[in-house]
Amino acid sequence: MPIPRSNTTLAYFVIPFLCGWLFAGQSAAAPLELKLHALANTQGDNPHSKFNRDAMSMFLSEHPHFTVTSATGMGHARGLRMPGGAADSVILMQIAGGIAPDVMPVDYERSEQFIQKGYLLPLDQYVAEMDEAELARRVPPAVRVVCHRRGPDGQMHWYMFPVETRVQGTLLYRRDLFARGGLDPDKPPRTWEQFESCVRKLRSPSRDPSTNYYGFVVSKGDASSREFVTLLRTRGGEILVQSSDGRWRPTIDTEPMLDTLCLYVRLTCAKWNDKSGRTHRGYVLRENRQNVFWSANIAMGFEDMRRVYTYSSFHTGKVGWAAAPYPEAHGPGAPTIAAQLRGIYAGVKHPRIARAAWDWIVLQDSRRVEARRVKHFVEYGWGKFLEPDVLRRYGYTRYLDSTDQTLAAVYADGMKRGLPDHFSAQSAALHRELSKVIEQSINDDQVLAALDAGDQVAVRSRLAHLLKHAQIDIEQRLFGQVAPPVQRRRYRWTVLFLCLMAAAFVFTLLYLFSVFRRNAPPVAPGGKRRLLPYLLILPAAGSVLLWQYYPLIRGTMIAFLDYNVMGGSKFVGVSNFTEVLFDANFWYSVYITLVYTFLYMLLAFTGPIFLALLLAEIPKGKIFFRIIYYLPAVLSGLGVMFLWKSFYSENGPLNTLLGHFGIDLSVSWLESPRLAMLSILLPVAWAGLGPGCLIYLAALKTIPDELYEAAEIDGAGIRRKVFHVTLPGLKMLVLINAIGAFAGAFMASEMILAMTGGGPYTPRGATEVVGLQLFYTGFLYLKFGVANAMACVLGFMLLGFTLVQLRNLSRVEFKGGR
Amino acid sequence: MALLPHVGRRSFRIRAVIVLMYVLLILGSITMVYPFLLMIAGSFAGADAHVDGNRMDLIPPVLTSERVQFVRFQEDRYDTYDFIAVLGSAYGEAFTSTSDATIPDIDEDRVRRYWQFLNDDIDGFPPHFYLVQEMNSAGKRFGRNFRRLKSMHRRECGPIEQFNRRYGMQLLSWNDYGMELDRPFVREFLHPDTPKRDKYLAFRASRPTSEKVVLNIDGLYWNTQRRFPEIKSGALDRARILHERRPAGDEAKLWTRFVRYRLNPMFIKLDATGLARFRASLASAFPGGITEMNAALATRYASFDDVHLTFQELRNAGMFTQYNQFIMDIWPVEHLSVDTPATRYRRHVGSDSAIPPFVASDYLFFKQARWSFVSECIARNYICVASYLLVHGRAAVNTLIYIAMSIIGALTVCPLAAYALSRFKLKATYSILTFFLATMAFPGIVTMIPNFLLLKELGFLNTYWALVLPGLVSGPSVFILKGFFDSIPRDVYDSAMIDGAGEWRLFWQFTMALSKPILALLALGAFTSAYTAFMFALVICPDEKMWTLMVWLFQLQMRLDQSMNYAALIISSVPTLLVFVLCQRVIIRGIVIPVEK
Repeated sequence: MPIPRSNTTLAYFVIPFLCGWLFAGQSAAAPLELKLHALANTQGDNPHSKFNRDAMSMFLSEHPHFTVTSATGMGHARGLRMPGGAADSVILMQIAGGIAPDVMPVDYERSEQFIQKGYLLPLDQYVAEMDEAELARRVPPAVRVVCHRRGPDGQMHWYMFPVETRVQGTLLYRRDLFARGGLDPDKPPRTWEQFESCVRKLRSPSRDPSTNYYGFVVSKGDASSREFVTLLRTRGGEILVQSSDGRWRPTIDTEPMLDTLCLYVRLTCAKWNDKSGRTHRGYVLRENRQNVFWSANIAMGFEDMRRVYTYSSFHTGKVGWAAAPYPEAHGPGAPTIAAQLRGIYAGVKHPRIARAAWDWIVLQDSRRVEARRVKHFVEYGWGKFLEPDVLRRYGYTRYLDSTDQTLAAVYADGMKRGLPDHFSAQSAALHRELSKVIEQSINDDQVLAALDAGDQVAVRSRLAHLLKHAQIDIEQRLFGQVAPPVQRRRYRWTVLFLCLMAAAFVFTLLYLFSVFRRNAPPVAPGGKRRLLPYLLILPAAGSVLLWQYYPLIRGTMIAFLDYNVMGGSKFVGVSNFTEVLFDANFWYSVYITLVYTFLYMLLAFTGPIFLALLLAEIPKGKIFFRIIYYLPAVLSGLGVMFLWKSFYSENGPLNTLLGHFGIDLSVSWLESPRLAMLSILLPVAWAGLGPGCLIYLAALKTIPDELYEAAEIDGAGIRRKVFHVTLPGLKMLVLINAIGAFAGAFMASEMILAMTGGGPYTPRGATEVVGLQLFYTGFLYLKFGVANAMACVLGFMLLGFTLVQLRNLSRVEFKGGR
Repeated sequence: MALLPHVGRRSFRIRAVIVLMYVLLILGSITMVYPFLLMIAGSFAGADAHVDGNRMDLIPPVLTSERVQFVRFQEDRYDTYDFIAVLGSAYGEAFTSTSDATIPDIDEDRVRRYWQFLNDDIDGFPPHFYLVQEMNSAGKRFGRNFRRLKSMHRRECGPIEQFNRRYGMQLLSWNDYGMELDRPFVREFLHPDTPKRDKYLAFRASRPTSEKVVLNIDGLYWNTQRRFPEIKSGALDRARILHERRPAGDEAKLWTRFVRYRLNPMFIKLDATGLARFRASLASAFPGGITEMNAALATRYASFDDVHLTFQELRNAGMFTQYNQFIMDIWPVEHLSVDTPATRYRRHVGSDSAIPPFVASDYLFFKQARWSFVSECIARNYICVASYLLVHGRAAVNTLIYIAMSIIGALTVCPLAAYALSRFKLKATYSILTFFLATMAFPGIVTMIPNFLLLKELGFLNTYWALVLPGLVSGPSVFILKGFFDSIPRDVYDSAMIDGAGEWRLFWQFTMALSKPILALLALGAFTSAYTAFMFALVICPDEKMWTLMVWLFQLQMRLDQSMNYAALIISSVPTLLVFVLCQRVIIRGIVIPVEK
């Protein structure tokens, strides 16, 4: 065989690496560059695009030395998107990497963490330049409390500034569907009672199962609390209240909460029959996709109302807009105000960039820009979609008659009475917890039974019971005040545990060392050089040291810190470990993980062995079947997930198929607490079948035929051959693979994140495996320290397996197949 | 074939077992193949859930059902703003989805007569009389005419910066290129007076008659009227025709309501008196005279008498708004007439009650172009995904470099270390092996955050190094390779050394050459992980310039509808499929099996 000469071979290696350096050099930045998180859409001929172009030109002409880029290099139309919670980790990763945009979007829920961890530059000097009237115009009181906050230094500072203020959760409804359902399109529901009756009437008006119309749409999974909180606020309820000492306290077990939950349960779970006699549960669609309101036949939904409301369907009068329904019988509730907030990244590289970032932020909601917007709108014939006072301000009074006064009234009312959306540090977690409570309530057998029996009192008392427990649980877990003696005891246990862990790791290393020494074969003769072997080993060893050992040590150290990516992490001793070890949810997720792992071993691990046995035995068509079974592996993991997700939907092919056999599930598999776990594993097993069987196929060939022949002469049947010849022959391989698979399954998280995100919650996540919990802890709650502590504990749990695995490996040698 | 007995293979039991095995395998194969077929069929589907989207058919209905083909043809033809209403108007029915479209009854003579009229008159049609089919750009799904227009602009301008300069845009790449949809039934709609729009209008005019979709304003009239309760009784069936002038009787009210408040004023023509009154209204709106008006509306008239309300003049938003307001407020009903394709047709055939056969004509156009349209349906999603990836030319380059670096890394660093460990008598051999293997004891997730921080501190974020280096060496593969190299007979080395071969030659010519299959398997592993990585690749290389194909596809997937996603999945799986089919022998040979010593 031809063998390349060594110097040319070297060139093969060197050139691409050089190229790597060269291309890497291209990302050099211009000296003054303002980095936004995303660029606005400027591609069209419509007023929005024109106005965005104007704003950009305005900024550039006033800042001639600047270029504007976006952190992800993408425009509005190409927004960076990620499934589930991973979306949130992008900006955190950017902050962690010091490549965050200069102008950062800050959401309410995470604002406290952003402030306390020092991600945001205080804006005091800039805000001070603005005159009071202008400030009051731009920052209504409900937004001011969010922007002007106590920083880590204990002083009040401006950290964020609004670029747009919205009234949250106003009722958008489809006039056409109202008319179709026999309701007056000009009379949206005003009270809860009317609302409920509308929702019922609009769900497939003719009770015809083929027309899937929904009265209302709500979010599901860990976003379930979204619409719920809007309703809760109209009832005057809160999920959190701030007591006089400034601490926030959860208010789950309250009367408004119970009322709202009763309504919610009735909307989502009440039974009804369609014309063909099929039973359905609930009148609302539960779906998280954005814009679902426009693509499906949904009559009502909660939407944020912006100042400039240009939903395209207004043009045809297809939709109407009103305030969210209130439960008239009780005291007045309030709408919610949420602003789009912008902050300046604390790591901004140059004071001039910080100034430019501020200029950019204030430009967005300025009168100058508003004038351009109004001009483009009016010129495009959209004058009637503008607020009346804006039209008056710029002299377009002739459009006043054609504007929709109700919209302006809803918006003005929201601005006047609205309360700020939740912004405390715990609100993100509490929303998630509340979602779990909601999921639990609508999946609770007792609730459903009472609902079906029409016993509202029983429903209410059961829900009250659930809320009471949730309140206690949440208080303990999220707002946990543990008595000092208990705390001390916990610390002691943690220290003990850590000692044990450390000892176990040390023991493992020593044991490994001795095992490998013991199993060392006689060393081959020949090599006498001293330096060369070490030189050859150096790159690999260095790489392992740098990319595995060093991060491991660092990660372990982080586990003892209250880690802050902006620097200034505090040493907190073993408290991260205490938090992990004494968290019931953690142990529950360990249990879930064991279930997952067990099912994985049952389905995904044994499947390939069985397939390999079949493929080895058939006389013809081996290669054909091998390719067929390998097909799923050509899709990337994400592709597999995407494909199966569409199969699992309520009206998807799987349910259709089962329908042919008379099994009527009529649920989306991934949302059913019973089926969710299985649904995650099926695609995993499916896609792993073909690739997994290859190694067994190869191994089967290494078992000498003579053994089989001998067995046959001894009169062994197929079964005995399998158990006495085949399996013993595969023993080592199966063992090693089994342990590897077990450890892998124990750590699985990515697929589950993409499929269910840990849900459905009842109230604990039916599929929230420990890997996923770790991901959430790290990237959703920014608790890197706790996440790393959790990872260490997991490593400890798997230590025994690792030990056995490594001992096995020390005893084997690897042979090529045939 | 070792489990089945060699003797008595023809016995009934053995045969039954073999048959059973085949049955099991075939059943399994069906579950493997079926989803792929669904995916392929789904990738031919049209936009969001209209006629054949979001369905699960094994055989794509667009290949077999004429109705589905025709509905999709209509979807593409009428695809514009609020296209369900526009399509419904062609049928004179209120549609709730495009699936309401049906195959019409055909009176060929009538259609031929109508086509004759179009042949004679269509060049004189103002742009708001018709749409051009397949101009769709919604959901990044581009019809043929949209693609033509886009490539025309690309040919004209070359790089996107040139296009931005020439047309006053701020696009980041050609992927951002879009065209504002026509909104013919919106009263306020006008074609803005911009150079980009000029180009678009010229392009529209240049398309052949069969691609021009003449609008049925009668249908809009009828659909608008029947929303009102008094029309529902059916008593005013005559409202199916929008007459040029206000009709007498109770229909007058409907006509007035529609023309005065609903119809885009582009469809309204003033006679000489009407025009004079409009000029007078302008003069009273701008008491400072023509100079004031020119300043306010950015026009260049010498006097009010120069206002003729041509199509071009009405592209000025200010003038258009003036005219719009004039119609609503002044309403010179005696001096205006409605000018639509249908009124011109009625003039042409000399009948007051003739209705142009819009849908029948659509259907005959469809029949003429049926199979070329079907092939467009099949190809469109693929073309869109492919062109999206091609515009991001760097994606392919990045992916190739990333894959090449991964493979080269996998084939050098690990084998070198394994070779050293296998060949030389080192005191520390087993310490070093333990050092490599012990990495298996770490949960990988612990190292994720520190790894990221390390990449940052080394300045590797947004470079190929960040993609390649962290995964370059895996401890177990050094171990496996070492074990494999150990099995190479020692005499090979000895005799080679006697022949005077250097260490490098020994490594390359013997060790590596004798281990080709396992190296091939390692290379394949490196290829697969480099090709499919997207999550971490995105996190450590947030800069678009560094994105690989998978990251682009992943981004694309997040915002496309199902059918296009299917197309993207299929396209992205072609390389892996090819590699597997071509290399499967090598893969099988490269597999190493642990055997007890």
